[in-house]
Amino acid sequence: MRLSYHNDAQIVGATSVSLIISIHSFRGGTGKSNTTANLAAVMAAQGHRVGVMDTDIQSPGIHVLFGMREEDMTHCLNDYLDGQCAIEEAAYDVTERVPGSLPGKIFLIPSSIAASKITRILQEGVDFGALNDGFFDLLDRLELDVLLIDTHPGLNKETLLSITVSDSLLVILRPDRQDYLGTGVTLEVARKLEVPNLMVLVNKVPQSVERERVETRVQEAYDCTVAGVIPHSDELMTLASEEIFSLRYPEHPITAEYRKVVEQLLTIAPSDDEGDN
Amino acid sequence: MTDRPGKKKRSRRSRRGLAKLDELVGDAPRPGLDPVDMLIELPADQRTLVAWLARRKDADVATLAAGIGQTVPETEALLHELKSRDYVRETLREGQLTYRVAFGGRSGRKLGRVLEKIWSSMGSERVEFLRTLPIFASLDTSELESLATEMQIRRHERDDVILWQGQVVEHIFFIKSGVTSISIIQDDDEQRIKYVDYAKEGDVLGEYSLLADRDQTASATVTALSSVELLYMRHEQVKKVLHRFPSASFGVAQMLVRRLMNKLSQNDDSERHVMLVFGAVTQRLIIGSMLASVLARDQRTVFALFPDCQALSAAYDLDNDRRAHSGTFVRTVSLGHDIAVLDLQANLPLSVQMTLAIQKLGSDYSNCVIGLPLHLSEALNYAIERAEQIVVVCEPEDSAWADAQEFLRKVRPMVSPERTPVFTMLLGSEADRSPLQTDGRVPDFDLFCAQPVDALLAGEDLSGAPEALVTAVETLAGRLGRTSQICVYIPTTMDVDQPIDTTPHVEQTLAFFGELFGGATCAKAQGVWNSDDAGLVGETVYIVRSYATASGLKTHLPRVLSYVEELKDTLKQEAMAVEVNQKLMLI
Repeated sequence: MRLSYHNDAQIVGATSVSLIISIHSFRGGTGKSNTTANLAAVMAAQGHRVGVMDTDIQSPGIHVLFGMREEDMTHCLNDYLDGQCAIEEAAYDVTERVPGSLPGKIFLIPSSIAASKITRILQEGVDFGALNDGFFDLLDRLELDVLLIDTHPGLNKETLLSITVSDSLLVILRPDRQDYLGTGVTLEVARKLEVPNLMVLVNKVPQSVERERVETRVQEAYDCTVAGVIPHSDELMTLASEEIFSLRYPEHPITAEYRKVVEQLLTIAPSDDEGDN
Repeated sequence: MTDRPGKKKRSRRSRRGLAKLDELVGDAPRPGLDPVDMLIELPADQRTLVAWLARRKDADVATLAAGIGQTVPETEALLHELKSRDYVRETLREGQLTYRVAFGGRSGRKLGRVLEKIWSSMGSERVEFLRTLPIFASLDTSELESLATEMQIRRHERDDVILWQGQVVEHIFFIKSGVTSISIIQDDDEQRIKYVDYAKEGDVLGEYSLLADRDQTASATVTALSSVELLYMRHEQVKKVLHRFPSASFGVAQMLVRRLMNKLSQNDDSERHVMLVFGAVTQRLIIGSMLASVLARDQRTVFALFPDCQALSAAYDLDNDRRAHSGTFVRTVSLGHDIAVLDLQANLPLSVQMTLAIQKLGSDYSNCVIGLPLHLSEALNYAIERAEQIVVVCEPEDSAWADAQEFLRKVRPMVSPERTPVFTMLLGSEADRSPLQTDGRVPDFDLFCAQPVDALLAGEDLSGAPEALVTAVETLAGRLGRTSQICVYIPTTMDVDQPIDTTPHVEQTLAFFGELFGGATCAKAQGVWNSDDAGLVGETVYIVRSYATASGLKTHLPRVLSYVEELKDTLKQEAMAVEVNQKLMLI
């Protein structure tokens, strides 16, 4: 069971609170999966037990960043939703697969990249009851501090479910008009679903654009915390999906920005309620 | 509606057929809250409640009310609305009522694996299940298929409340899989929940209300002890079905009469135990007297023969004393029990005399051991109905074994294994015997007794009897009243086929069962299961088994299932098998 929230702002620790955080973007190509992987790595570097679930069933990809291939997956999220395995059987400890010696843990729950499994689940649909149970069972069975849900871009039923059960929602956008408009819709939905903590992260900001200007504009547009502004980076582009940037370049300013985002995500805002399970 | 050129207008029948197809293949959403509906359909206050609750696995009403900033009555009103639409479920765990959001529905396209969906929802699976229910036993396949399509299905998770005591019962439920507790919530700080019974696969709930002339309320609360799947129908629908299939009405009547008879006999015989020993007179004397001797250690016990009552006094060399006595002759013998030589009245049928005998003996004794011949047909039914244990003893000889099997074929349909276990015993007078053609059936006990009968009966205890025979009789005596059986299957692999040492868990389970039920045994078995990844996987399985009284099982079953759930997580199993009275279920 998830533990109580506390009235004072608390940093997530191994014995206090476990969180579900959805990482979302309205459109594809914003760097959502890459950002998710980096946030997970930073959290694990701080000693947290982190789960990363790839719910982008139609176009899975985050597993590549953690060094997993199809042949490494005995089970995946698709199998769990199909009733063929328990959720923890679809979770893989990928801590040793990434560079560095992380004091925490990263567990990846990948989606299948086999065409047959993708097709099947698209035809049959996702069982929301099972998906919802899977979120909470992972927190309990793997004793996670945080579960990061890498969602499919855009609003669909699965992302609505993820957003509904999340303690925090991080919406990623590029400084692009289409992204701006779509993000507004997403945040409106999230507010309607009363997600406790809403934040945006602006990614791939051209070097020529001032960070403060972007932050101010986005904050005013959405009346929402801007957790971070990640500038475009040649190193990030060059690395592509071969490795996790924050582990390869721990001293890079972008990694520092990721750490700032993590600090904000893991600081639980004071709540009106004393949630109890 | 205007026909498009070149397009034939669909007939009403085919439109209805297509609608039915949609329903069958799963257009009908799984009960529960669809995320889109949460966003666009729910009023703001309900959405706030659901959103808050969705972020926690479950919560009680006070916590929920505080969380959403409403009073408890306001929150209860919202919960009532959400419950009525099956968006929120109630769970009862250790007397604490909590609520959880039930997400349902599916994303994606509706048509997929069409043939398999039609097949399963039309009920190859449902039909086969309905066929196993005694009330529908008289229906043929097409009638069962018609019935299957009219049934709804519900799935519950562990601790979900299916029916509340005091709630008006509008449906009849058939348990397709899983197990439920039937309990009464009391205003008693020491025992808030009183478990009165349990219901498992094949059992029916809500049947009493079916034939009542007005709405009835549930007398107990039904809670899921495991994942439970129910088929259900409204009473009005069932009544229409019964009109359509009159033979099913008879099945319903039979079911209700059986329930009533069981209840009456439980009330009537709660303090009296009747054991029947069938066989030739020597076998009956040996086993009957030894059983009575063991039972007499704790409670007043009598041993009698029927209808050849006088053979008993002859065996104990008490004929002279009996002749001097009128009426039923009773004497305490050296083995510690009483014997009763019944005074049968020749002018009454044997069936009547049997009723008189059991009533008389039962009024004076806690345990009645009655020896009867195999070829007794009249009076058999009455005795069988009253028996809590039946032992069939025969010599290790082909024709005697064949007679015993013939007798068992007649008796087994008359008894409920959950109430009256039947044991078979080969009892010879010598160690050497010719090989027995048992046609695959193995007796429960295969023993011999070298001691002459008269020496055995004259003894002051059973020390002169063969040790194996004493152990067998003590086992039978210990099983009296313990008509329920519960087993847990403990695997020895995880991650499909990786061996693990589960010895500590077997020992822990033995201790746990011993504490609850007074004893447990463990047997090793070989099992196979079909893995999608590795094909056929064989493994050793340990079966921990306890025999329990019916009330003991009802009381402790929830604890056992909680224990198995924890063991499942510890051993990282997808599911674990539990067998309750020979019904296997997966937790």
